[in-house]
Amino acid sequence: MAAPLFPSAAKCMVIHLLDSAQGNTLQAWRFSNHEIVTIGRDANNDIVAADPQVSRSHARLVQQNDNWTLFSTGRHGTLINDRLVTEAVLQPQTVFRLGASGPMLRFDVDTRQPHRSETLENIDTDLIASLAVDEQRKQREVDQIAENTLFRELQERSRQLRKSGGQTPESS
Amino acid sequence: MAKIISTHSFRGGTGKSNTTANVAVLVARAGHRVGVIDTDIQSPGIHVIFQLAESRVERALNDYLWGKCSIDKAAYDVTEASIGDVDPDADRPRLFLIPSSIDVGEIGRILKKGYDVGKLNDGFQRLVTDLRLDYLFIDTHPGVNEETLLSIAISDKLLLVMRPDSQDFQGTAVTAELARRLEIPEMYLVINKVPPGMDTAQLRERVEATYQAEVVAILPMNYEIARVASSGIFVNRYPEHPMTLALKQVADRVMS
Ligand SMILES: Nc1ncnc2c1ncn2[C@@H]1O[C@H](COP(=O)(O)OP(=O)(O)OP(=O)(O)O)[C@@H](O)[C@H]1O
Ligand SMILES: [Mg+2]
Repeated sequence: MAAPLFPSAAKCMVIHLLDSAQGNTLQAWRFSNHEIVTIGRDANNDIVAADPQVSRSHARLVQQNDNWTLFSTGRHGTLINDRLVTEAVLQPQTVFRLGASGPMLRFDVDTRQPHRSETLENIDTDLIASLAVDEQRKQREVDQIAENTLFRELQERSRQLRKSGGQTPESS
Repeated sequence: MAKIISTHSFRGGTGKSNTTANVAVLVARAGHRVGVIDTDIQSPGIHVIFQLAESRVERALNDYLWGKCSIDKAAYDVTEASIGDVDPDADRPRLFLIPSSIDVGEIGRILKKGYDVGKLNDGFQRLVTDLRLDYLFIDTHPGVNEETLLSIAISDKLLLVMRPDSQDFQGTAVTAELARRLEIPEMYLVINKVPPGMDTAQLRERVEATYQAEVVAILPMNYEIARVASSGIFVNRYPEHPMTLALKQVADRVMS
């Protein structure tokens, strides 16, 4: 039998990284054929969050029957509704936090396709073409600064520095 | 030998401090000793991104410039808050922040009386040796002034941050030309706050042709970054975000 075009809803799990102030999604990870999803700071996790509040192996989500259960494995703890949990069955829309003030994630079961949020209207396509430098004005402004004694001194200092191969001579 | 990197922009609010802070964290995380100094004495701000509590700051760059303390007394180890989980005795990674004072009276005093720019230069050198730095990042006040020019004159690499608008375009051309006359060895452009839908390939081409310098990152307008800035370092919180990947390119250039 051919594989289904879309995995079944129960098997398609989504974790959203939330902007803590607003609750909107900043980033999302979609898992369709996973039974275990790991979260942590180490690069070998399925979801990598390099926040200081996140442990190397912070949490593990395990699919059991038709539910997903969260196991907190790291020393920074995982919170649901401001309470530390070591194990919890996740209902759709459950928000959990890695560490007391670390990133917030939302668990969801979803089949919808991601959609683009920005509209591409009202963009001034001529903007790039209008970016230009007025060379005469630039030259005038540069000359004004470069004539300054301080600038000359700095030029001299930088010349010595570059010649001496990097380390600035102690200024007297 | 330590590398000094300064970040500049012609106008304010281009994203210098955000870029500097995030790139500094990425470079430190790669296993280096990194210092970040806020020379924006008029409007200091990078300490906020590093979440350095103002109550913890007993000495700032200003105190050093007034001769009240040595520069290392104004350096705060922010490794724990910005990288986390580092053995306190470990030599690397280490991240130090040298903030400017946020005391309004202090800001007024230094603007009125001025200070010896040579002393600032000595401070940079002392930091490199006393803290045994691999990299020193200098965050600056927008525009061209003595500190800007000094930091360019002593830097190995210059990051010019600009937005894709005509005022930044013109102003950046002036800074780039001054940097050339100061014989800056490497100069890179970071284009920030690019609106959605803008053709980034075309933008890159235009900017590189205009300044004869490499564009190392094109960063989109990102409405979450302001909120994130007050609650930590963006690249830590969103390690796979396209913005983070672009900032990594900048860090790679800094370390290459
Ligand atoms: N790509 C971006 N998208 C949206 N907002 C941004 C972006 N980059 C920076 N910002 C926001 O723009 C503001 C200015 O950023 P930042 O302080 O880094 O700039 P700056 O050049 O250091 O400013 P100043 O000249 O005042 O020192 C901040 O509120 C910051 O959160
Ligand atoms: Mg700034």
